[in-house]
Amino acid sequence: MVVDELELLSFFEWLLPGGDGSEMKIGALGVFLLMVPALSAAVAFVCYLFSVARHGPAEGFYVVARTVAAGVTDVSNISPRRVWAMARLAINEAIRRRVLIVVAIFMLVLLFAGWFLDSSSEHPARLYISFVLTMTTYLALALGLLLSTFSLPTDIKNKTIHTILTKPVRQVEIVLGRILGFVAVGTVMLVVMGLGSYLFVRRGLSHTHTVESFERVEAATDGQAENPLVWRGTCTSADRHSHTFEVNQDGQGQTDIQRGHWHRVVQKSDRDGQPVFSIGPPQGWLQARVPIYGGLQFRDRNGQAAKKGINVGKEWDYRGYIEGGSQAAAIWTFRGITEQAFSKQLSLELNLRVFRSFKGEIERGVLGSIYLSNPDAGVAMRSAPISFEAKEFSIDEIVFGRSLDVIERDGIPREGDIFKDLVSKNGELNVIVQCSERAQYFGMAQGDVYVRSADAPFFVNFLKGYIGIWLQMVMVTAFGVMFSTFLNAAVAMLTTFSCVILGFRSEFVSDIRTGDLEGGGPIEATIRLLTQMNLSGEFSDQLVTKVVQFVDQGLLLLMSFTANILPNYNAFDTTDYVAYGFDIYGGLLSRNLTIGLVYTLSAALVGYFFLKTREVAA
Amino acid sequence: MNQNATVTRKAAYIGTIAVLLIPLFWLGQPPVTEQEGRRPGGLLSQVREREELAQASLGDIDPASESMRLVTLGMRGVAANILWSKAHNYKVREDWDNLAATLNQIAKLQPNFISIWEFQAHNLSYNISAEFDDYRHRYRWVTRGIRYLLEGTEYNRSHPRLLWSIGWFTGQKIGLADEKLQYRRLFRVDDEFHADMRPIRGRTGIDMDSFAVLGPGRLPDNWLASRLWFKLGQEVILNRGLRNDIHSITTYQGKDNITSYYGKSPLIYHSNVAMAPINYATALEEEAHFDLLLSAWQLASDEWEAFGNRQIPTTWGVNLRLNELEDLYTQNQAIVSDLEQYKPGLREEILKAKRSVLPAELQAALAKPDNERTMMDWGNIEMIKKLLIVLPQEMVAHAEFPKAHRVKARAIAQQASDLELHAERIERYRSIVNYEYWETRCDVEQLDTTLRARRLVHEGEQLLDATKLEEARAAFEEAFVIWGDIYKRYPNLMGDVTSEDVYHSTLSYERLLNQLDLPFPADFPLMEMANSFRRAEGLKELDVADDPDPAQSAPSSDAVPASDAGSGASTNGVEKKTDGVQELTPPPTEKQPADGQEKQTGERQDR
Repeated sequence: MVVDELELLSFFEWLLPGGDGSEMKIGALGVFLLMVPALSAAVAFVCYLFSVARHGPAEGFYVVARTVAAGVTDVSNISPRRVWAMARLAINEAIRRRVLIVVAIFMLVLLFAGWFLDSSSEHPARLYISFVLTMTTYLALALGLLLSTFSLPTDIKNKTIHTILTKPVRQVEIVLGRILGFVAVGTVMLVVMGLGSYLFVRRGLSHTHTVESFERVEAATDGQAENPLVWRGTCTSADRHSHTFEVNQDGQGQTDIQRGHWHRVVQKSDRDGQPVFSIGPPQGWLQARVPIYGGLQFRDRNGQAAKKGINVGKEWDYRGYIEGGSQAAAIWTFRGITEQAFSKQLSLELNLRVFRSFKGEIERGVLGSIYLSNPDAGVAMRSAPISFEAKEFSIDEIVFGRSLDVIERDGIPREGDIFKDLVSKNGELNVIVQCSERAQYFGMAQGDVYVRSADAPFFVNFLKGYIGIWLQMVMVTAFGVMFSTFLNAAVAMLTTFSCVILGFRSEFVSDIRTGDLEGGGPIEATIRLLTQMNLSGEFSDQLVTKVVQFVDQGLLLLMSFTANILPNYNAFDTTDYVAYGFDIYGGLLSRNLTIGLVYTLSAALVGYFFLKTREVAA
Repeated sequence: MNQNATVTRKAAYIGTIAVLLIPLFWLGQPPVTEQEGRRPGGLLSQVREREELAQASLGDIDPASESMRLVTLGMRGVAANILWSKAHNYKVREDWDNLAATLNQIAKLQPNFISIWEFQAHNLSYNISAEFDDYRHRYRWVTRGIRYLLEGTEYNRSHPRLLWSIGWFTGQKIGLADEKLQYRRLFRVDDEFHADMRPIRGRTGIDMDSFAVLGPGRLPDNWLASRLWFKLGQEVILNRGLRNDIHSITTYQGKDNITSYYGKSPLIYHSNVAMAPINYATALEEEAHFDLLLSAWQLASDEWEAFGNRQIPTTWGVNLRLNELEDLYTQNQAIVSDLEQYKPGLREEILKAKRSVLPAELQAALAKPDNERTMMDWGNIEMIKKLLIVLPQEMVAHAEFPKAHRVKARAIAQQASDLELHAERIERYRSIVNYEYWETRCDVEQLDTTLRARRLVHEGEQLLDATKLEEARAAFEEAFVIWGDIYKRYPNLMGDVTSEDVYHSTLSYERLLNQLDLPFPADFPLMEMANSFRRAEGLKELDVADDPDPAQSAPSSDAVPASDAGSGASTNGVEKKTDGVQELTPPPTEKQPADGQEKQTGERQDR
C-alpha cells in the first residue's frame, strides 16, 4: 500500500523556508515569491516585444504600461455583485447546454459498473472506491473542459458578448464570473455524483452471512480469563468468501478478517434456550485511519547512519531495505506523543515488506523486533523489544502498554513508563524496527510505520477525496476560460486538454527529454510510428536525423517547461488515501487548496489581460 | 423545390443504408437451427464457429467485454496499450488489486488474443505470486493466474494453448515450486478453486469428483488434475483435426496435423500428458504416501506407453511413433544383411578403409581406454562414430559391388536409408523427452523391491529423527542393498537427478554412522553412486573402513559397472540399441563426476 511517495509534510513545513518543502529549501512560499516577479517580467517583456512590432518602441512601452495600470485599477475595483451576475449568466448558459447529461452518463456507468469490477479481488473496497473516484475525476475534468472552453468564443462569434461589454462590466469580472459560474454548476454535479458513488460503494459492498455451523469450545485452558471464549463457528459463503467466528462468554464476538472486513457477532438465546447468533453488517473496509507519521532514518549493517536503505533490486525505490541479523535498523521519530492522547497505550501499525535472499522457513514469516527509545541524546533508555512475525500487504498492529519494561545502559530491564522514560520532553519518541534473521531483509518507507490515533469518519474522508477532484475541476475550468479568451472554441478545448494531459504526464515528458525513456521527441516518435521502427532502433547518422533530434529537443524543452508551470494533477489525486483507508491529513488538503487557489487566480488574471487586449469591440 | 430536395436527400440516405445492409446481413447472418437441420449462417458466424469463439452463440456474449470494445470505437489497440502500460506501472508500484483489475480489463478488450491470456496468467502465477512472502498469499496468486486462464477459455472455448497452459500451471507451478508441499496441501482442500475447474457456463472443464483426479486422502491432486487438462487439450486437437478435414474452407492439411497445436510442439504436448502421472508418483514418494505408489506408477507406465504408441506429427511432414524404433532397427538390419549377401565382406572392407584414413589424433583417442579419455577425446569419439557409419548406398556404389545386382540393390539401399532417416528422427525425438529413461523408471518403480527400498529409506529417516539409531541403521542398510541391485540392473537410472533422494539418504546414513561412531563400510553397495554425487557437489569422498580382505570390497568397486549396462536390461528391448551406442559413448553419469574430480584435486593442489 502506498499512500504518498513524497515526504509527508505538514502545511507549514511545506510552505515556509527551513522545511524540506522544495528542492531549494526555501519553502513553497519562497518559490512562489521568486517565480511571480520573474514570470511577470518575462510575460511583460514578451508583450512589450509584440507591442513594439505594432506601435514602435516608445509607444509600445506606453501601451503595455497603460494596460498594466488599467489592470491594477480593474482588479482592485472588482464588484462581487457584478461577478455574481456574470456567474448567474454562466450557470444559465450551462443548464441550457444540457450539462445534466454528464450526471446521466455517471449514473449509467454506475449501473453497469459491476460488470467491470473484479469480483474475485482480495480487497473489493479498495477497488470500488478507487473506481468511483477515478471515474468521477474523468467526468469532472471533461465537464470542466467542455463547459469552460466553448462559452466565451461562442459569445464572441455570435457577437452576444457586445450586449455584455456595453454594460458597465469590467473584463476581469467577465472572466471571474465565467469561472465562478461554471465551477458552481460543476460543484452541484460533483455533489450529486459524490452522493451517488457513496451509495454505490456502500451498497456494492454490503452483504450478509448466516451461521452455518457452530460448536461449544472445550473449557478454556486458563480458567482465570475474565471473558473466556465459548463458541466457535462458521458462516455461510457470500460474495465468494466465508468467515469463521468466535463468541465470548458475554455473548459478544466477531468473525475473522476476510477480504479486508469482518462482522460483529452477537449471541442470543431462542425460546428453547438454544444459542442463536446474529451476524452484523461488514465492518473495517470503509475506514479512515488517522495516523501520526514520523520522520524515517536508516542505520546500515554496522549501525552507522545511512541516507537510505538497501535496494534489493526493485525497479521502484520507494522502500529501503534493512539487513537482518545485523545492526541495520529503521528509526522513526514521532512528534506530538502526548499523555492526553495516549493515556493507556500506544498503538503502532506496521506495513512492512519482506525480501528473502533464501527460502528459509516457508511456513513462517521472517522475524523482526521493534522497540521504543528516548530520542534525547542524554537519555539512553529504551523499551524491551517486542518480537513479531512480518506480515506483508496487511497492516499489523503492535501495542505498547503504558507501563512496560525498559532497559537502561546497564542492560537490566526494570519496570518503566512510556511517558516518564521514553517520550522526550518535547513529546518525541523513537520507534526502531530491526530484522532478526540473518540474510533476510525488511523493506520500509516513511509511511509504513505510524502511530494510530482515533479514526476519522469515513464519510468525511470520502468528502476530502472529492475536494481533490473538485480542485482539479476548478483548475481545468479556469484554464479553459483563460484559453477561450483568445482562442476559438475548438482550439481552446484542445489546448486545455493538452495542458491536462501534460499536467498528468509531466514526469513522462521529462523522462523522454532526459533520455530515460526511449523513443525520442514528437517528430522522431512520429517517424518511428510511420516507419514501424522499434523504440530502441538506431537512426542512421544523417544530417536529417540530427536536425530532427535538434528540433525535438527544442520541442521537448518547451513541453517540459510548460509541464512544470502547469499544475501537476496527480498531486491532487487523493484516491489512494480514501481507498486504502487513510485519513487525508490536513497538511495535504490545505496544500492542495492553496495550490489550486493560486493556479485558479493566476489563470483568471492571465485570461483577463488577454480579453482586455483583444479587440472584441472592433 | 427546397423541400423536394430535402426529401430526395433523405430518400437517398435511406436507400444507401438499405443497400449497405445487404452485405452486412450476408456477412453477419446468425446460424439458425430449424427442424430440417442447422443452417451455418453468414461468413462471420462461420468463422466464429470454426475458431470456437464464445460469441458463436448469442447467449454467451459477455456484455462487459462487448460494451468495452464498442465504447473504444476502434481505438481498441490504443486503449489496450494504455492499459498495458498502466498494468506495468501498477506492478512496479506493487498495487496488486489494481493490477489484477487492469489485467481483467485488457483481457475483456481483446478477449480472443490468446497471447494476452497466456502472458498475463504467467505474470500472475509466476511473477506476482513470488512478490508475496506468505506462502498462502503466493498460492492465492498462483491460482489467480490459473483462474485467469480459465476465464480465457470462456471466450475461447477449447483453445489447445489455453488448455495446455492450465494443465501446465496446475501441474508445474503448484507441484514443482519450492513451496510444493504447501501448495499441494492447499490445493487439495481448495473447494472454491475446484469448483472453478469444473465445466460451467458452457465452458470446458474437468470432473473434479472423478476417480482420475483423486489423490491422497481421496482429495483432488494437482498433478492428476493437470493430466486431465492436458488430456482435454489432446482431445480438442484431435477433434479439431477431424473437423478441419470435414470443412472444405479450411487450409489445414488433415487430422492431427501440426497446425492444430497452435505453435506448441506436438511431442512436448503429448509428453506432458504422460509426465503428469510420473510427477504425481514422484510427489507421492516425497510425501511418503507409499500405499498409493504402486497404482500411481502403474498409471504412469500406462500413460508413457500410450505416449510411445501415439502418432506424433512432425515438422518434417511425417508422423512418427516413439516406440517403433526397435521395429525399424530390425527391418534395417534385414536390409543391410540382404545387401551383404550380394558381396560378403564388403562392409568390413569399407570400414577398414575408412578407419585407415582417420586423422592421427582421432586414432589416438580411439586407442585410449575409457578411463584415460579426456573431454576432447570423447568429443572425437563422437565424431569417429559418425565417420565410421557404412551406408547401404556406399556399399552399392563401391567398385567391387556386383554390377548385375546394382539396380535392384540401389532400390533396397534407398529403402534402408529412408528407414534410417526415420529412425534417426525418432531417436532425436526420444532424446528430447528422455524416453528410455522414463520408460525404465516406470518399470523399475513398480517392482516390489523398489517399493520396499523406498519405504525402508523413509523409515530409516524417521527412525533417525527419533534417535532410534540401530533400527535406523538396519533399515538404511537393507534399503541400500536393494538400491545397489537396482542400479546394477538399470545403470541408466543412476545419474539422474531423481536418484538424488537416494543419495541424500546416504548422507543421512553417514550422519547416523558418525553418531554411532562407526566407520563407513567398505562394501557399501552405493559407493560409486554416492561418490559421484559427492564429487559433483565438491564434497570429500566417503571414508572407507580399512578392510584387509580385498575380496570383500571387490564387489563394491564394480557394483555398478558401466560395461554391465546391457546385461540386466535385456528385459526391455530399449537397451538393445543403447548397448551399441555405449560401446563408444561415455556413460553420462561417469563423465561429469570425473570432471568434478579433476577440479577437486586441482583445488587441493592449489591449497
